[in-house]
Amino acid sequence: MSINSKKVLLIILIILMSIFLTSCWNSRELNTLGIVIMIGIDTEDDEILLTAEIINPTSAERDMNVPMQSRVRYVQGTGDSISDAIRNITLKLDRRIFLSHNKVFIIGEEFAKRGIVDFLDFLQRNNEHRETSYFLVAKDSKAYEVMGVNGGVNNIPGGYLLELVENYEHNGKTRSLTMTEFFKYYYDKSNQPVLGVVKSEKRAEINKVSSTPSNVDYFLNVEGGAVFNKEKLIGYYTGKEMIGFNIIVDELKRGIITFDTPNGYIDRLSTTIPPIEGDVSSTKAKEHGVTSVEILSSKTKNNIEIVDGKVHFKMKVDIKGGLAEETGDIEISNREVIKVVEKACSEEIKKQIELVLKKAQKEFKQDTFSIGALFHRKYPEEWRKISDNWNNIFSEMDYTIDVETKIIRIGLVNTPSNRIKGR
Amino acid sequence: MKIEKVSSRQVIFLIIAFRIAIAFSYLPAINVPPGNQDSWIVLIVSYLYSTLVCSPLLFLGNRFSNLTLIQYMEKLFGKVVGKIIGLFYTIFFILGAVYFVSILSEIVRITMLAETPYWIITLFMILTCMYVASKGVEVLGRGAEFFVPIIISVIIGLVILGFNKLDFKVLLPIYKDSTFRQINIGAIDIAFKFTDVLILSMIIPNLENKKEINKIFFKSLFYSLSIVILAVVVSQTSLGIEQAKHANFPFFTFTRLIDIYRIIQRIESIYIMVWIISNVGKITGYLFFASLSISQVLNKNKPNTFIILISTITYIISLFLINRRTVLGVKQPIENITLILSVIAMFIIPLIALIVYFFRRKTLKDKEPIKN
Repeated sequence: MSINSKKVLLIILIILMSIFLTSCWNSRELNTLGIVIMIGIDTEDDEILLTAEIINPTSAERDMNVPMQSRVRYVQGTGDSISDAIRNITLKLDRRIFLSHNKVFIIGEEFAKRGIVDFLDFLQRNNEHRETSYFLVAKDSKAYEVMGVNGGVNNIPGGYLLELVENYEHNGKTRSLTMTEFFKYYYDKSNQPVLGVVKSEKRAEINKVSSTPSNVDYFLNVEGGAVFNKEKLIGYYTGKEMIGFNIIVDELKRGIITFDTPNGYIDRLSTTIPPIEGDVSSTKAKEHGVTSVEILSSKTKNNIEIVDGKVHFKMKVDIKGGLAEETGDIEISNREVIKVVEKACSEEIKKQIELVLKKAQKEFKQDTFSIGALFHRKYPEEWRKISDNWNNIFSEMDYTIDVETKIIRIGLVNTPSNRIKGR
Repeated sequence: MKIEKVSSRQVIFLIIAFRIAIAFSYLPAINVPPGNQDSWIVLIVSYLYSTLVCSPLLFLGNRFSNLTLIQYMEKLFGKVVGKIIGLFYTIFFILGAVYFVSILSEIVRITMLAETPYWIITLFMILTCMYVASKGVEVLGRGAEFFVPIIISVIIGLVILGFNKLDFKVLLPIYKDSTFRQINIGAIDIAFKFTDVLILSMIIPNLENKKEINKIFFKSLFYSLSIVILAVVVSQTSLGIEQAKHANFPFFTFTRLIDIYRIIQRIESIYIMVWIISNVGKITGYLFFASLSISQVLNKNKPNTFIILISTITYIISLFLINRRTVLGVKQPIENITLILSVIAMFIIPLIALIVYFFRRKTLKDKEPIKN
């Protein structure tokens, strides 16, 4: 074959390849897709009701004239399964549902109480859906009731909720669990999953003249945790309990611990501001001051032992924090005072841990902290005998909590604002 | 006829590529007994069983270092039985190619080209593999030498990027929930899945240094097992023991979890790229060795003559198979058939051949001196 013939053959080959390798079969043009960013799942009349928030591409751009609500569209589909409901949306929507950018799944409370895992199979099976999307339970409401609320500055409600969920790192009062993480806990014989929650709340009336009569009067709150008995929702942890929860499972990144300022130490160096005659507030503040410590890092070491034939859970929590606020009558620059504050902070953390442990033991009667896994790791032989009865053993389990707090930052001032340092 | 030569390193890379192609597709080690956090122990123990299972093949390979598996079988068993055994190995390689074509087509369709018909995916795959296979063993070796370091680097890179998703506590307690029996059953199962060692028996005449057969075997076994252990540990610690078992492609699912500060995410396409390269390499190898086997059974010198025929047969059977059933999702009875064929091909026939060799070694020496 001559060189020219080879060149001609090569050119034909390149042209043929460019025709065949364009992936036309799977082409998904943007103008044919309904890009979903948030999905709500509910049950209604024994059917799945799926609500999807879809980006409206013509007005999603940052145009101040475009009302916030028209940047997205909400579509609903019903069916006997999630895949059926999604497919049925195409009977009403002119675009094909595209799940790849979905970030948040909201599960309606009624649906969560009914049991969710059988219906989540689709999300595990479908390759378009991402395993990293967050799961939340709509507390006291249907999923679609919390959708469409945008109380933040994000352009779209789905983005707003995503930011709230990811704020978890700054606030330990909630939990952000992805689908993969949920299933990790679900399949763990010793553990029950705890999901994040979301609730729509009415905003206090602020600047009534300029506000538009829409759901901007509402905002979302993701405080708390939804407790599952494997797949069924059985109750909630409050925000405060979630701090204790996150400390036990060693997932607390940041958070604020607020407690009554300890009165045990009287500073001799500084003088308090003399109360104004007849003013009760300054005296009251002195008596009931509060201290807020920002947790900068938290490390929990859990251990479990069998003492006299009974399971005993031991926790050692090391907290490093910074003084975020002090309204009490104490002198922070004194090392002794700091020690007292550290002790009081440790006590408060201990209380919060006990609060959530007691709730799990007495109210839910199930292990939501993977303590069973700890037992399994340490006593594998015994675990085989008791694993089926673990929740009962957990409910009767004794525990010892040891918290040590170190305040390593005190901020820009060394004396509370309500004191005069004096000499 | 000039014999194409491949270096020991190229063969090691080739065997590694073949083995990790399977490991990174559906990780059989996760599902073999005991199917818990001790899977990595099973893999380590399988090193011993792989050595035992492959020892007859290794011994014969060392004895007949100028002959392929097909050629020395004919020498040991005589023409008729030898050719029947040769035909069995040809079918074994074809079935291997069919199996991997079906798996790769399914992977491509599930992960990327959801609506492209199987006949198109499979056609382009077979055409590519057929072209590479027609270029001979040297190209296979060079290809492995070039691509395998890239594949391994990408995999290690992905593991590093997803390191924050790993929870090593999942692997505890160690060797407490499994019995000695379960570990050994799992290890034997894994050892018989290491069919890629057969290509070593087919490639021995092409080796530059024939004294390194054992070294090639042990090195390739060690490196490939290390990579498979990495894949198992990463999949189990990222997804959990049970979820990893549920996943059809556990390591692929792990790559989908990678998310670093929302900057590095959705990078599984890089993984799919190396995944396809390794699978294409494997299919190419099986097509080539099937063609080589049949050409030697029929005493023809040019395996290329058969590549088109073998590729067409592979294309038709795999298309027939994947249009009717899922190979990955429903593993039985294909997995059992593959296991039985592997036991016969890797252990029973070579063991019988070894026994025959000991009885006939004097006659064989008288007939024709064996070149070592």
